[in-house]
Amino acid sequence: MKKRPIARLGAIALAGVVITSLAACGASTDGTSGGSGNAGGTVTYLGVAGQWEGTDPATVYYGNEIAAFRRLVYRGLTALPITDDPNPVPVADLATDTGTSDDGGLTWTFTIKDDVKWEDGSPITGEDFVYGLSRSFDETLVNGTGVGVTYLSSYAPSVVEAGYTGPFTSTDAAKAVFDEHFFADGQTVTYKFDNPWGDFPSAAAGLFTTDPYQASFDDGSTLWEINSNGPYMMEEDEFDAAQGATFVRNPEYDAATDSTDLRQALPDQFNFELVADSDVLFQRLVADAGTDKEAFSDANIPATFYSQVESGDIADRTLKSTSPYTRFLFINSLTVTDPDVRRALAVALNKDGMIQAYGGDNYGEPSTSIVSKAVSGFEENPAFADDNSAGDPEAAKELLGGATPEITVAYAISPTNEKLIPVIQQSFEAAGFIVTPLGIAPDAVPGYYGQMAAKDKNGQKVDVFLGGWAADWPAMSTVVVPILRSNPADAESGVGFNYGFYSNPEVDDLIEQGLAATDPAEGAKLFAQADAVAGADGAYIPVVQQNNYFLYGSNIDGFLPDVASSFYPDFGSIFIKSSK
Amino acid sequence: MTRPFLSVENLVVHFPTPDGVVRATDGLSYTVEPGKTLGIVGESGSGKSVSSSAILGLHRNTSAQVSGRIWLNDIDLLTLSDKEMQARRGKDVAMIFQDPLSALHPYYTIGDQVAEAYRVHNKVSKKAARDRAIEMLDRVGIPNPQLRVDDYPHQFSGGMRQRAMIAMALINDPQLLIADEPTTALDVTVQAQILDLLQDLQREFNTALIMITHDLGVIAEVADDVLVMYAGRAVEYGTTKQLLTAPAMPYTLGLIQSVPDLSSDVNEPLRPIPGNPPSLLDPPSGCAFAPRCTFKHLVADNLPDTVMPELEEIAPGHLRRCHLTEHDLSKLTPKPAEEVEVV
Amino acid sequence: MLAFIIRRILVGFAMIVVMIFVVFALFFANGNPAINQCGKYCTPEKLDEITGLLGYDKSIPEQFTAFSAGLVVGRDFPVNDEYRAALIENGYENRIIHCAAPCLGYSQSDQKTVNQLLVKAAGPTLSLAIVSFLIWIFFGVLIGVIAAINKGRWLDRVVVGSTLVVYALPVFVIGTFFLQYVAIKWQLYPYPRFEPLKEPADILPWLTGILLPALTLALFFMAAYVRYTRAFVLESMSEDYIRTARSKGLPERTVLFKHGLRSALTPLVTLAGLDFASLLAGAIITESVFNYQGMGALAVKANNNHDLPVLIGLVIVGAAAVIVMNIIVDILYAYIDPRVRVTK
Repeated sequence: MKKRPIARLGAIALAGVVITSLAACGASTDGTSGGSGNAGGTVTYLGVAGQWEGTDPATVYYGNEIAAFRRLVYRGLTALPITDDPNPVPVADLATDTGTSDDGGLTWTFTIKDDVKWEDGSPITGEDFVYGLSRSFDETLVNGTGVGVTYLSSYAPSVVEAGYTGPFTSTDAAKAVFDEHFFADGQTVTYKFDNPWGDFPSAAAGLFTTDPYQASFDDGSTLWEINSNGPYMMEEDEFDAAQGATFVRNPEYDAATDSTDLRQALPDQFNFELVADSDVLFQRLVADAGTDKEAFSDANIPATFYSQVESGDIADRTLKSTSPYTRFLFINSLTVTDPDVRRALAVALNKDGMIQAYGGDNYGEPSTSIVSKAVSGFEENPAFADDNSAGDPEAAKELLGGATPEITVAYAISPTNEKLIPVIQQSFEAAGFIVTPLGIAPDAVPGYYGQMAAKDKNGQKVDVFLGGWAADWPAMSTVVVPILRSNPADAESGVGFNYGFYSNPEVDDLIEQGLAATDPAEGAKLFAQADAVAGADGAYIPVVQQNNYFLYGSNIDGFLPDVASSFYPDFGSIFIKSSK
Repeated sequence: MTRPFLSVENLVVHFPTPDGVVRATDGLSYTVEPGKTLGIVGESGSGKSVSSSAILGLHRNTSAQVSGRIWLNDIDLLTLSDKEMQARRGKDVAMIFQDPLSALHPYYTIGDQVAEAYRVHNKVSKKAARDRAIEMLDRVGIPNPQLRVDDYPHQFSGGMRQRAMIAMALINDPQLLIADEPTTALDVTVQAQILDLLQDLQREFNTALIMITHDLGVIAEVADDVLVMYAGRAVEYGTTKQLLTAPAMPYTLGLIQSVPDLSSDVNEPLRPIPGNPPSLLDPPSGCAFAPRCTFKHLVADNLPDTVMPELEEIAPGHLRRCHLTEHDLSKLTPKPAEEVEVV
Repeated sequence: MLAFIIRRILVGFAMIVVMIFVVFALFFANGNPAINQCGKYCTPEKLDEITGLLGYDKSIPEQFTAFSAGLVVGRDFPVNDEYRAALIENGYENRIIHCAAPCLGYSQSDQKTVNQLLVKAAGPTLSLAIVSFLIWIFFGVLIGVIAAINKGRWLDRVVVGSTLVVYALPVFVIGTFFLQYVAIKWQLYPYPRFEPLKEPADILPWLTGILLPALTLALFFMAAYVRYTRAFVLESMSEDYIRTARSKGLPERTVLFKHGLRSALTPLVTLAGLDFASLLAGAIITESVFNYQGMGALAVKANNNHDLPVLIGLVIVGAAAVIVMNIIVDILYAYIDPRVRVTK
């Protein structure tokens, strides 16, 4: 939330690549949470204006937005339960179970519950699911996320290749191809993929791509509309990206069709209130006055507020946890070809200094991998484990053997990055590098990541550039694969998030083995191995393992950042304390 | 002994400024009786308007320091409170100004402005005040006053505006009227009409009139007495006849000679007084007129440059402020008396 | 007078047309609304594809023609004819967005017509402009007059001094102070939120919500208007007709309010009219600080999103506001100053 550029696209794309043995399992619950909270009242969610980019399920792709809507308004085939378990498994939501596949993930069948309804009272049918999926193929609808197409093109390439562009504009021929792959018969929905998709139930839980959509609701612009099938519904006709919206109880929602493991739905109302900036937001949470006692936010406490929230009663209202986000420096493997030089950069970097520039210990700690500690199967990357987090210019000099390579460090211009660059420059220069910073303006077109994605870096010399990644999905694969798997030979832009154009057959081989592994633990080990090989090869420079540092009102309870909500506070468990 | 109707005694008006005190009027005295006209003559900045404004108490809202006595009907106006003065202003003493266009408010009708002067001193209805305004406009010779009463100043000609100003000034039948260059901004034919009107009205209401002007022609036509001012002081004071036929100091003579004479040769150049009036901030130590005086060589010991002459009576009712002797005066060459029209 | 107003309106209209053309030419050189559909990880190839799909790949003259036609007869979106044809063929006519004349365009990032966005933004902006205008005119003129009649005294000096301070304070600082200290930290005033004014019962919440932002905006203008008023009153009180009014024996109060103030207000009307017009285009800083979604916030957002149609729409509305206010000022002038009246 704090810095949005962290990609989700790649994480989503990769979520589907994971094939686990869980694939064909039925519903399971771990029962860590119960409906013990106090019902009623109005909870205020505080956010910053202008950050939401749409509420059409085809559009939503930020982790915090998926987290909120999954619990309030958009139920899917499956969902992840409310739990502090780091390795939760998806459970059935609108479907009667988490799906069945008899052919190792090629064909998936789900049966939709009979008595689930849209907010207008009409039943949710299998057709609605097929229709919802079809919309995910429309690039103009998904508002630039490309999630649907990227993701589906891996598993149903023949549909994409037939030129299927969603229900609105596709030719009859393309529609016929789509209809062969995805169809409904009453309450039964069938998904036929070209390639096996073992992890499909998990993907369905973590994304809105396969969510149902009511065709009759698809009228005019739907970008800011919400047609609820969950416990709450939006009172306004449209979500206001600048002001928010009000979510009240949905009378058509039947709790009997749902599980309290997924949605406790205790408050009577959720007010989404968006404010001008995070200063105002945290001023209000700190003041804890009036209805703000029942308010919370998924934004991280800014560094300027650390001194205020660390003392007295306020500290009791904070929650610090490991975030799925890491930040690191990409190395452009096309321009920095010598692994010793790449390692020298890693050894020289003063991570401690960078973390101070980011905001200190509360912001995060020095990291040793691109993978977050919040990801299951996380292992420290041995290649970086022994590096001095304050930087070791002497060791770097040794690696360079007297050479003084010229390197250009690219970054998106922002107040924080402007503080980071001097630290990076100093630590590299101490090792003998000749450093040129290259700032990309916030309004550049293409944007910072667009330019970095390009193989030629938009015609600029770029050797090292700032980046960050979130494991929206708690699996090693969602990080290692997009960043370290070789791009196709003819790719002009990085695929996934491999913008450094790193390519190592040994790493690719380990990744393929990991993807093919049927045991998730075994897969995780292979990915960790791939990460270790790439690290030793100087593929990237890890910088910081970020923290989540949340603040909430004094009457808020059930505040739980969990895996299901991408480590944002879970809307399904939150409630207002009974004694005020 | 009774005091004259208006008696200004030793009037001083000083304006303190960051650069020093501007002595706009310094020790001025004169009298006016009802039905009579005093002409005050002088160049711009000689203090004629400032001293007259003092009679209306118009300096009260400024930083001006006013002292001396202004007796009107045995009451010293300078001792009155603001409220008492305000009640007399426009009622006992009225004033008309040089440029009727700027002196009239552009946003209000003539009728409003004339009637306002009446209503402020008389508890009457708007309607009655308006009727009275129409009556006065009629009296000052405005044609179709019932219609013109609703006109704005810019819809009037210059002469009509001045007539309206006169109507406004006289609407309360004041005992004293001060006319500050009332004809200067008007063309010659209109000037004569306005002066005639003023004289008619003066006769009708037996008003005491102070006519401030730089135009000796006007003085010759209307004034009974004349006060010549220079650098904030009186330099000559007497009857109109005395001053115009026997000016007793060079400045008065200069004023007379600078008037174009229709009877003389058109090729004869005008004879303006050379030089400029002195600064009132830092007046000369001697005679204020000395730097411009073409006769000062006649006076011994450089006296005009060092000593300020006193105001002295050289004939009954004829005062002057000059170092020249009776003998020197003969060297002044006044115009033949018959060429000056004396009322 | 009528002919004069008609002439002014026609000239204003012509100015708007020229302005549309200039803004269109200026912005279109480096703006492509399709960028909003392309996402954070937009690559040039993907951008090209979406640009074509949405119909933003046409030449500038073609786009300008289509835009102009939209102003006169309305338009349908997306602008790509083939795309719309496909929508109709597939039975999705209802996803075509019709924008009635005068159609100012379509915001790709918000997926709303510019007209809709402007109407929505007009509420907060108009509310803010009107309330702050009333505050600043009332207090600005009042304090200015008080300062003028006390010219040179301590009260005048205090007023003049404090207006300098207020005028020097950035709006951002005042707004932040009101919001973060007065409203949030000290809880002296309810947290300001914009509440739309739809029925009489809404007046109180509307006013409560708007007072702090309106005050923020008003303080800046108030400081200026105190000084303007003071200067104009002093100037007008030195006019000849004021001397006339005094010589009539009018009480000083009447002299000041009836004769002095009326002419002092004339130049203020011009200033106030134009300042008010400038506010109709949105108060960017105040709206940003208080998260008021008015024209100013819309402009910031449109600029960040390269949302050309919205920017053009804002320019047109801003220009129209200035032109209309100019005409209103002219009419007011005629009302105040009889010399300006063309006919009686």
